[in-house]
Amino acid sequence: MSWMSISDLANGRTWDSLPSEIQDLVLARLDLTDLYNVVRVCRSFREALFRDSFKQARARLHPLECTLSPSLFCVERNWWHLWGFDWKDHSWRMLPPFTCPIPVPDPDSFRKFPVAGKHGLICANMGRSSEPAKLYIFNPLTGEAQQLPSLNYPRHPVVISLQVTTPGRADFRVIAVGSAAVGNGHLSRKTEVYCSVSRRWEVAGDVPGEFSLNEYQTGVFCETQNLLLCTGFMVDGRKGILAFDVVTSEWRARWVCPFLSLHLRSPSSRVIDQLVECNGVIYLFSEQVTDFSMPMSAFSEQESPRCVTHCIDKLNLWSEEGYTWTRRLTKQLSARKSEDPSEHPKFTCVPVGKHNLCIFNTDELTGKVYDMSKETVDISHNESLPTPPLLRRSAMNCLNLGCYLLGAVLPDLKPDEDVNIAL
Amino acid sequence: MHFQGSPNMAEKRVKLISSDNDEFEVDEAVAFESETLRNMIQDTGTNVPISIPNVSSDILAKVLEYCSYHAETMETHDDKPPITDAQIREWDADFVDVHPATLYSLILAANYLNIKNLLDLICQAVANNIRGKTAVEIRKILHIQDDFTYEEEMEIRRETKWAFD
Repeated sequence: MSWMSISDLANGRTWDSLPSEIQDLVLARLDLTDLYNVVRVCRSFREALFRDSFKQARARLHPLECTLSPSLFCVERNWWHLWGFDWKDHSWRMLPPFTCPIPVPDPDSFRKFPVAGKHGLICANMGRSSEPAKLYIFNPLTGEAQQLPSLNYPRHPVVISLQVTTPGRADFRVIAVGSAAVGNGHLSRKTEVYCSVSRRWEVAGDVPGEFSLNEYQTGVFCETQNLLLCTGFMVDGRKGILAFDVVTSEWRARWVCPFLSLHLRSPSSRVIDQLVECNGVIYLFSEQVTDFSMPMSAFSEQESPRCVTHCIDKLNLWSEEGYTWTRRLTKQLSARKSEDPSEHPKFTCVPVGKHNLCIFNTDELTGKVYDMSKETVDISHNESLPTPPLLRRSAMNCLNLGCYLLGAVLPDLKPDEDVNIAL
Repeated sequence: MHFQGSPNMAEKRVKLISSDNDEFEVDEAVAFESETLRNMIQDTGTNVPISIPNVSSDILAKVLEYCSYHAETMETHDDKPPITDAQIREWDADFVDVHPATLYSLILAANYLNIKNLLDLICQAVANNIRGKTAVEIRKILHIQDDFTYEEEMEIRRETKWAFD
């Protein structure tokens, strides 16, 4: 007998007769692109993305959907769009657009605010500058979002760092530091830590000095030492790295870790200082401007030589608060004085793949990728990112892209039903 | 109908009864591929036939064919070369090359009998059938009705337009 079953055909076993938990085991095996196609098939498929049975199977089979870096946002008529570069297949990928319950942010404030991302979750401040911060945590793949409770000290933090403590689950920690507002010195020192388990903001130790941290950033997290590292003004007044110990909830009070300088003779002004982490290695990307003064100038003030330099320095942290910097890359850019690079820092540095860094021009949306695994990084050997498709430039909110990876899992963002979190 | 799975007289034999009252006898090692059967056997021993009320004989036969092949791949014989992973993959591919109605019954059986590898294999086979297909094609393949209202349809079109721009 052919085992192709007569009784089955008679039973008429159909897809529809399978319980949805079983259907979810099949759907969870589709790749991301197919998944967003099957939601058009029928209601049950559309609801699958939010079912626990789907999420559990998905997390087991695809703990990481994709890593998109750099990534770009734009908001168009209440819809959020997110593009990102997927190094694995060397192409720009577009995530499904998502809408409520995240309010549409004020574009001017939002452009400046840091957007922190980790393991598929994104944390961003959607508040307008006239009101206190509204911190949201959301999963761009499912469109699920939660507003975090208000900070104990209402303000717009300059540092927002997101750490997912258990990837694949909704356990995360958000660290919010400082304040952008002028004239509130004490607020600029405030540090608060939100824990998704206790669902509360706890006030941590103050930043060592007032307005030490005055640039919007996400910081980077040093896993081995449990430190959140940020760029700012150290206790000695120089610029360098500040470190927050996540275990003790205190900043290192007297630690100084100044940046490497560029030229000894001609002082440079630093336009960008951005920490970036790639596969556990911490780098500082900087843009520095040096104006060479010309005696007996043949040049007018506007055209006197100015040199813009990009540097990538590797930071090694040792025990007992020791550290070493190693310069890994130096790249000169030509510029004239008439262009003021500080007006809008257009470059950002993001990790791409396992050991590459990409210096990305956020105005032109172009990027060069450098292999950082080599002892000496050859700047002539670089790869250009392809141009992102379909960019409606006018609607573009090109954000602080630094230190930002979207490794998208589908964690359960919903709080327990009995706990009321303001949504 | 009796299913003979790799008879080995030294081994304990297990009797299984399908939903349509057919009796099957297999080696304990074959039954142990199923977590559910393993637990039942450990509880009640091999003397009593185990009835499997929600799996029909044709599906149970197919499941046991899978279990006995995979139990056999675990065995080592001095006189035979070991079965390679490529051979197993080829065998598995043939195994799932059946009518979709059978695959759906097998999913339920594998789920009930808790045979993880079989469940994964069949779910992947069904997923492969709808990979890269349009929504309309998928409805056809799976015989599903489009149950969206006109408004929902419009909403979905708007939401998913990005993927097809």
